[in-house]
Amino acid sequence: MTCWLNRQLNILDYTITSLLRRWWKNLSLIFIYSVLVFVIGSVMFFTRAMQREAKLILADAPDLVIQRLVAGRHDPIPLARAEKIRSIRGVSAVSPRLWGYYFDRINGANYTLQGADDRGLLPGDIDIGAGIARSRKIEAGDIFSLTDSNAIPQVFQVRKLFDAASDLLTVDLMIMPTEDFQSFFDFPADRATDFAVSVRNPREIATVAGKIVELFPDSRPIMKDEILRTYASIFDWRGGMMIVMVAMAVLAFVIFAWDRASGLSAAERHEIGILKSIGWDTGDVLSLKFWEGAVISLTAFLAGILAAYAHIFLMPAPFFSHALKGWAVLYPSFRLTPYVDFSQVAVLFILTVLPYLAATIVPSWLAASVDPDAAMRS
Amino acid sequence: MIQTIDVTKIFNRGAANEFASVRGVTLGVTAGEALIIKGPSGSGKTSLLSLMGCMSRPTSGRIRINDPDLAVKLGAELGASLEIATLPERFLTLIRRQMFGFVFQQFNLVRGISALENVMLPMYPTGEHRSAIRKRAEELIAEFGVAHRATVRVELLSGGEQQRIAIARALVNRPKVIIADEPTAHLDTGLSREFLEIAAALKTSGTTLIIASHDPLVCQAPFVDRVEEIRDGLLVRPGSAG
Ligand SMILES: Nc1ncnc2c1ncn2[C@@H]1O[C@H](COP(=O)(O)OP(=O)(O)OP(=O)(O)O)[C@@H](O)[C@H]1O
Ligand SMILES: [Mg+2]
Repeated sequence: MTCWLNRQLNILDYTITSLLRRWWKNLSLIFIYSVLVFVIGSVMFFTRAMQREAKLILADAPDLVIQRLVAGRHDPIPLARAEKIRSIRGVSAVSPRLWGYYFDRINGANYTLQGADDRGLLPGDIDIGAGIARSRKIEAGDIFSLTDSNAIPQVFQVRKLFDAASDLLTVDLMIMPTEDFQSFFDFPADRATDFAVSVRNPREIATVAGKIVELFPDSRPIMKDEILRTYASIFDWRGGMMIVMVAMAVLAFVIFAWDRASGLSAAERHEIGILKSIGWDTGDVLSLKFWEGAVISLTAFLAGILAAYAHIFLMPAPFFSHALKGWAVLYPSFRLTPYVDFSQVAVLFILTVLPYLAATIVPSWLAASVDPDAAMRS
Repeated sequence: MIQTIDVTKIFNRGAANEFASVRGVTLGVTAGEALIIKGPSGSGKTSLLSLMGCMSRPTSGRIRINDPDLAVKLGAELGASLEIATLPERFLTLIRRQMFGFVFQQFNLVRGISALENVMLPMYPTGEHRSAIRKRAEELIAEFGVAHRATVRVELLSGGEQQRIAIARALVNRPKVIIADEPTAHLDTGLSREFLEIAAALKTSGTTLIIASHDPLVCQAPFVDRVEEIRDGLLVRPGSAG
């Protein structure tokens, strides 16, 4: 046992020496390899974390949102309609919602402002998202000033910050009492931004939506399913998996091509012959090549995956900021909540490290199984 | 100790460039003997040495190795001779490691690594601790007077130094048989004499020597017991002692 261990340690030791001999080639190999892992890992972490955020949002999303359109544009909806909608069969609750966007000149960012009375906010109080607090450098208890629709600055006291179970959900959110909201935006008291409608039986959502449109032809129903589908089309698991798979295929190809191109050189073949002639087993040569492949692929994999993690979760995903900026709600700088799906990392590991190991071992195995004198003459 | 019986080695059998480098050679060497195989270039000396050293298998014929220690190691009956043509590959490797030390025509040192590491290489698969391996290699290198060059990459060494490293590497596993292929081909007369001194010392210590050479200096060396001549793969009889 100690004999076997020593043997492997000795071979590993030689592997390191051997790799250092061609350090430039090996370093560039590790670099290319880790860049590829980085790209795939980034896509993977990003889509996965976004899916999770989206799921959190959807968990709270109402079955049905009713908006009113005037000349094809979203317009406040009269509160009086709530009662009529509530009387439709199958509807269990209708809650008018007040929300809008606030452009913060100081940060050049859009915040979501919401009016709500069910949170126990006193007039003048405000709850804000962590992203806003960060960019404005304020904490709970601080005074917070916003400029209202008449360009008059209004001060609020920050009651609390939303804790970031999901950053995406609350990062740019501010909530104030309904009356404050109405006076801040000069919002008509008999209107709401839209209605959140709960439907008792999920299968009746479409029917209820149809009835509402019949009743109020200028309303636009948005079903949870639709939101779901929209999200799904962007962050669909399978779609994401497709990207990952395609990228992996590319990775595998590039590595194989690289390896084929550099191949098992005459010098390497000769070296295998020497090792065999001085008493190395085919198994020892394979151990050597295994360690060689393992050192390179594990180093590259770790470097790539850690860089991808840092890129997505520690920096604001600079390479993906395009995708983020497209989503107005996300405009202020925000960070995805770190979320790693280990089974996915394992898949990436298997699909990158194993082919590489095979690509290093198989040609050497072929070279090592011939008689050493033949290997040395070639 | 090693006996070849009607051994033939044919390369590229069946192809247009089929070539028999060794033809029906029957040749034995006893333990402690110093045997020289001489012959012109291309006569099949290297091929014969690699057959005797278990580096390749004969196309036909038999090669027997008779060594009590080896028999014990491989679990064979004591006194039984091993028929190497039929042994599985991993046993051949074991035999090579245990029995033989090779000094190749081109030295065949591994480039890019230090002289010391080259000497250590054959010991790695023995499973000994690295420090023990290092100690053994350092001793040998010191013995051959190249200790000051131990950490230098081998390709930077002179021909004579390279050969000493090659000999040290051949000896590191304490083999019973040293096989040297044209050991003086790349050396001047002075260095050749130094090699012969080393060889004589090995012979005195009981090592069996099989040396391929057409260098008269080697063939006529005092420690040599027997000289066999090979031409076009055939042994030229009778061999005469030098
Ligand atoms: N793998 C091989 N395939 C084909 N022919 C081979 C192979 N190995 C050796 N030969 C041929 O066998 C013949 C004998 O070769 P070998 O190397 O044994 O000769 P040698 O006596 O050692 O010659 P030298 O003194 O030049 O080293 C040569 O003609 C060589 O071309
Ligand atoms: Mg030769």
